[in-house]
Amino acid sequence: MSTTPGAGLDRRELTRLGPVRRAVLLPSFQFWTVLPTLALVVVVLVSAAVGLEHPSANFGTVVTWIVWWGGLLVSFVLVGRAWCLVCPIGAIPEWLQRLSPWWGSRYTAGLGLPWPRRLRNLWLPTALFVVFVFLDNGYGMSNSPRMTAGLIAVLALGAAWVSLVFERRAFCRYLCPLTAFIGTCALTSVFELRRRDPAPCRNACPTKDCYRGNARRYGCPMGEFPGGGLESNLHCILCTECVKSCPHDNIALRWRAPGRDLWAMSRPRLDGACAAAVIVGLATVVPLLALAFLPELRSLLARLLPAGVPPNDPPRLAAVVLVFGVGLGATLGLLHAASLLSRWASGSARVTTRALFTRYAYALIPVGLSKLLADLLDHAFRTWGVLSNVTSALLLDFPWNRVMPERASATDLLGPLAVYGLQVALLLGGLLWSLEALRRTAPGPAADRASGVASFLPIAGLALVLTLASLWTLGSGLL
Amino acid sequence: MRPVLRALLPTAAAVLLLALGIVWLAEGPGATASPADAPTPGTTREVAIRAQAWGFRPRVVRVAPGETLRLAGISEDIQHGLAINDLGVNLQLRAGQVARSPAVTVNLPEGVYTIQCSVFCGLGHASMKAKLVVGSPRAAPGSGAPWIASLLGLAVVVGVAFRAGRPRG
Ligand code: SF4
Ligand code: SF4
Ligand SMILES: [Cu+2]
Repeated sequence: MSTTPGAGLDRRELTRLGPVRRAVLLPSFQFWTVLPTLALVVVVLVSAAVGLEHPSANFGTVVTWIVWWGGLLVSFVLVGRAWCLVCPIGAIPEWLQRLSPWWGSRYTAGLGLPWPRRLRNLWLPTALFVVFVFLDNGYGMSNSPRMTAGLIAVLALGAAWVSLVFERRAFCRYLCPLTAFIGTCALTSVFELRRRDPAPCRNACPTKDCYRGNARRYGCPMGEFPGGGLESNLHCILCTECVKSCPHDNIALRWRAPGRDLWAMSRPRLDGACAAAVIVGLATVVPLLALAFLPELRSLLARLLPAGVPPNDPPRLAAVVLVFGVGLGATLGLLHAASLLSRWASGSARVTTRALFTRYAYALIPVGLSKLLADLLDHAFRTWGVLSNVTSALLLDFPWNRVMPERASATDLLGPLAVYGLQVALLLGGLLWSLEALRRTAPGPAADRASGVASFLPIAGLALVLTLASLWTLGSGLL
Repeated sequence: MRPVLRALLPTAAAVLLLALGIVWLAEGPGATASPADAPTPGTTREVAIRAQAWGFRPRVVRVAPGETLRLAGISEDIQHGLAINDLGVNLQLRAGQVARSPAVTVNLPEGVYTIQCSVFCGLGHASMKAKLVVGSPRAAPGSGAPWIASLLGLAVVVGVAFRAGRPRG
């Protein structure tokens, strides 16, 4: 590997640090990061499949829906898509496909078909994410150990099958129900992997090893081209394969302004923008509507639909579908209205409503992400102790998790008002972050201050409304 | 400044309208549940609480200081929990199965305590709360908090709006 890193090397670069550099250049780097997660996922799967049928006494459900989910939300901001780096559900099928965990292998398994052109976008994964959230809220997946185990099994088998038919990590990029969510939220990261300098890629690199791979290393498993088109964290899972394969040592990991992708992408796409808007709607508008209407809607629908057996009775499921539909429709509609108003206010003929909609949607991600974090914060502080309970229960009957622990009652770390204070701080922080991103994406000639402010106001108003929805949803318990 | 005013008026009107809608949604339709029966001191009273995604009925449970209770919870849909941390109660609720707590004596100072779902049950879990009112305390201390938070949110927007439109770099 050449060691003439050329221009673009700067203080923010993490790959300059000796230990980091040695770690990411290690061919088996990803393998070692996957191993601990793999061990944990196996234990989770076993305990969720055969363990106690109690959502807060089962190790598998608590680790999945509280520890993993919470860790995932925090990890976006710190390290982008790094969960995908350590995710065994993505990694093991990839090892299977290339018949090697890390070394260059001459043989491969599977057909290696290209992923269908029409599906090379985030529409399908966005729809699958909505289905995923619906399964949780309609059928109670996150408080059913068996359904949690089923989900993990379905994802693992699906990923394995897809990797044997299609090339690279087609499942991770185009099919995983979490990929649209993880990808768009990873835009908020303080951390990115990019090429250092455009010159060698353009002028001195006929082989493009970062995309194609070479005799020793694999091309980007996510089908990205770090030497060219990579300009956001949307699809990069930080596997560091390209750091190793680039013959010009032109790839770097570096710190950046938090969430720079939210406003700085040069070609933001509509599919990702709609994914972002859906995530924001699911976090803010849908819970408010559910809080206000779900029980009434269910009793209303009970007059029209067969009763069934709760919790999977048709009236309830239909009510959840309605709340989801109305909430997501309202979110997209409001965003569209704000973009229209903003375009009109800017007085600029150069920008289109669609372009504004796209940029605004990405910039609103912190408003949604902070609400998801605030939801979890409440649970973490108010049912503190459950993690040690389930761990001790697991140890009593490892790894089957069939023995009920002597349960300490849920203990608070903080009172409800103090938790609300923290939630408010989080939500206002998310609002401020989104506003800063929106301010940077606002259209209009930068010199014209008045039209800049004018076009900013409508979308800032929407960011405020979405934050108010969260503040009041979370505050309703205090009233 | 003309373009700013032109954008400000419809925006402010829309935000105001939507904000009123939000307050109504958070407080209005879901809050219609009735309080539990009046306490009868000296006996163990069973308080029945129904849980659904996402809320409890009743939303307010009134008890006398020193009263002895038994909580009987049931879920109307997916699994939930019924926890009153201050009383050390934490029940698992399933659809169609009544879960009863042991008898607990409310040795708490007069005040408002939180009844909460203790199972991470989805998008609305964080607002799945009810109140245990012991005695007849004055207004709950938290009732003004969402208003204060909303004003802070408005202040954040106004602050950033003043920065908007500056040359970007
Ligand atoms: S292999 Fe390196 S030099 Fe070549 S295109 Fe990729 S990043 Fe650029
Ligand atoms: S861009 Fe590089 S680090 Fe990112 S997924 Fe592709 S090969 Fe891995
Ligand atoms: Cu619940």
